[in-house]
Amino acid sequence: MQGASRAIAWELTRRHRLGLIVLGVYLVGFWAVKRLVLPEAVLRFDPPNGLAAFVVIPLAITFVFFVGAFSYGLSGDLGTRESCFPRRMFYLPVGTATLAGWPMLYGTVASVSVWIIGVLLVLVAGGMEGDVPLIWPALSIAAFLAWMQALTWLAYPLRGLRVVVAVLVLVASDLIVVLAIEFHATEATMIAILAPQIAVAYVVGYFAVRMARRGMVPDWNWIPAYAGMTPEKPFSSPARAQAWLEWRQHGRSLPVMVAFVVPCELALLFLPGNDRAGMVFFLLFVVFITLPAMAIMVAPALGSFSTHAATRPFTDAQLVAAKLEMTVRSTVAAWVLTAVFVLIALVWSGTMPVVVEKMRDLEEIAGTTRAFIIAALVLAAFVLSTWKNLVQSLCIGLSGRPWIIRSSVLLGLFLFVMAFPIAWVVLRKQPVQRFVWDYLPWMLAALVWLKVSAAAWVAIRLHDRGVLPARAIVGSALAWLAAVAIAYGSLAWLLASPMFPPYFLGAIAILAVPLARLSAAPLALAGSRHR
Amino acid sequence: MSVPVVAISEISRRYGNKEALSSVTLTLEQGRVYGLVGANGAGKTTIIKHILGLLKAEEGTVRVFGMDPAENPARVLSRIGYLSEENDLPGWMRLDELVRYTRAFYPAWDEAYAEELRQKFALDSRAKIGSLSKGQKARAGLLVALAYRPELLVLDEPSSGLDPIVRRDILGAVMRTIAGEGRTVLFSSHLLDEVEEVADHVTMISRGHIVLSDDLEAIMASPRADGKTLDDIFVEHVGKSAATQEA
Repeated sequence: MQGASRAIAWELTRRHRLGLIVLGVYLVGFWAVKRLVLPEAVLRFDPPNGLAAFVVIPLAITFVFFVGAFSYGLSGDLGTRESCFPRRMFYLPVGTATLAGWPMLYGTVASVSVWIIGVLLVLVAGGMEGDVPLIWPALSIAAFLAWMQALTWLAYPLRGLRVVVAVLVLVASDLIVVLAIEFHATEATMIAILAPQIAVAYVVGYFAVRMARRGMVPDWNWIPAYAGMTPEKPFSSPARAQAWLEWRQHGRSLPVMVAFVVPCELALLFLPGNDRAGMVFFLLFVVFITLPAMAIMVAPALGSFSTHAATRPFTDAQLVAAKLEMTVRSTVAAWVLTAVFVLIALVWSGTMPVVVEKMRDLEEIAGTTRAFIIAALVLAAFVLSTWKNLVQSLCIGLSGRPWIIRSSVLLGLFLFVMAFPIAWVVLRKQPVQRFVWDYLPWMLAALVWLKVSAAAWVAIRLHDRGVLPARAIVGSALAWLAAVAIAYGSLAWLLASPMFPPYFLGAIAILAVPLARLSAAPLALAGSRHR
Repeated sequence: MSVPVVAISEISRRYGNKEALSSVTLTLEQGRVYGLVGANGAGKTTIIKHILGLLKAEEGTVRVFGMDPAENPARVLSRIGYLSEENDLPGWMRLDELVRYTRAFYPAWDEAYAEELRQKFALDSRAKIGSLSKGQKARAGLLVALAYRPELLVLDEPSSGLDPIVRRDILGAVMRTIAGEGRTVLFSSHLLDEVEEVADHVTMISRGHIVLSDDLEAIMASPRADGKTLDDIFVEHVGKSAATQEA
């Protein structure tokens, strides 16, 4: 037992020693700079000041790194149904409790240690304003890490479901922290909430590894059987065959997830008191935003590409076209399902009249045509953003480089973790809002320049490598310009106000219509298919 | 003079510090069976990946049917049947779905021949690929690689780890492919008895270098063979090459 625990610890530290060294050097470096160079600088966490970012951001990165390292998620495909626990470890002559327990224990100790050491270093460095709780944030990180380990090791009945469940846990975890700060929860309350979670996650982790060791993978075979997508006649063309393959392999993920999540959200309409217009429209907004958010989670798996697919007699552009067709069908299917669910929920919950009344109000204010167009544009924006989120990451998956795929997943998780605190600071702090507003033109200009430059580079590479003919590249560019013009026209018509100057709307239109990453998809495929 | 089916000229390839191929030149003429033999990691699959266009030549040139397979994957791959040791057929497909899917890409698909192969291999058309045994998967892969009667059949260690019955099926398929209309076969293996059984021409590769490439008859008839088996000749050449490279 002792040998096994040491071997597991050695493997974890050996594989991730570079990250651990960087972390240690950073913590000591921060302490030294604060102590020796900035002794007078004040560090404040509530609300956080600039100096706090030098603690919060590295800790968030460390946390994401720990999630990847201690869950073995860095060496597995997170989109698969099977457990990500390394199979090679199943053959070790040790019990399942040892296999699951030690990595979880090491993860807990590491995450608690990083927080406590970090806070102690900050305290020793001096200049701290306000109190920083010591125990509950450490427990919060440990609980989240333990849940991530358990969820990574669990097997799922559907591809991509692991990512959805992980994000839901992430949101819940973020919410607990935000609420704790908002309501100034006591240390004892937070410990009472968080400590049991760690124990439950350990139990789930144990059973996940036990199931995986026995080769148990739940399989919802009935979904393809009832999807009606199995062809009976020969395909009319290779393009149809490839589109069918893409749909069967990836296209159903988003609609299936929508079928699980959206009804849960709409069930809130049936709760007493949730029939007021404000709440109804808030819940509808949550439902509508769920689809683009889920598309982000599903997207990394869409780019997967096997040798079998690579040896089909198809050009790179044709293979990407089949993927794009699949994303369109997936988006349409997900939104049709959502429309059906929303209609049923509104009718059955008796909240349909509330929606109809508000739409009539809009009609009175804006006129019938304008009201219809406004509603259609808002809906179109949600639908298009769902599709956009599906296709934006295609180039990452198609690159076929595991390190790019894993890094993008970790980066996405990091941005997700950081999004709530950043939004919280921006919404609560007027100086921050002023800063953002003052520098908005420059920020937008920089983003537009980046996007257009990247797209130009991709277009040149596409042409030079012969992936797309010049005519197709020019045609795509013209189609993109037309889409930007339509987006700009719609925004200008919808937001006709001095608040939104033309440059602002133009920049938003340019940034909203996918270009660089989308056009990089065939290039990424060509790079990975013909290395 | 007709264009060779495959013309590889002076290609080299490195994976990091490891030299996978070094100035490899190889020509495959129509209507013959070529055996590519070498130890594990010798560079056989790397050569095959170049032929399929899955690797782009870093140095040298690769022409298949007179075209660069990395530049014209659709035109080249439509004339090649490929079966790999990995056999990464989509596990979620049923066999009948795999057949429907694959035939869409090949206008020359022969439905009667596909059905004949399915029955000969005793494959259930409703079975999921993922639920098949390794041998059955190999047979399924062979079925979809042969049913459109490709001009070039590429078999990358197809019988590695398979039982004698499946190996016999694969070799039988190779023989039939040659018998029918003079097609070309490239057969990579480290099982020399298999290669000896079907190959007209043998190319031995060691650590990315071709150490011997000649007609099987010529190899066996050479004075140096002197009654040795192909196994002995292989060990002799590979051992010599390894010693030279280490020196």
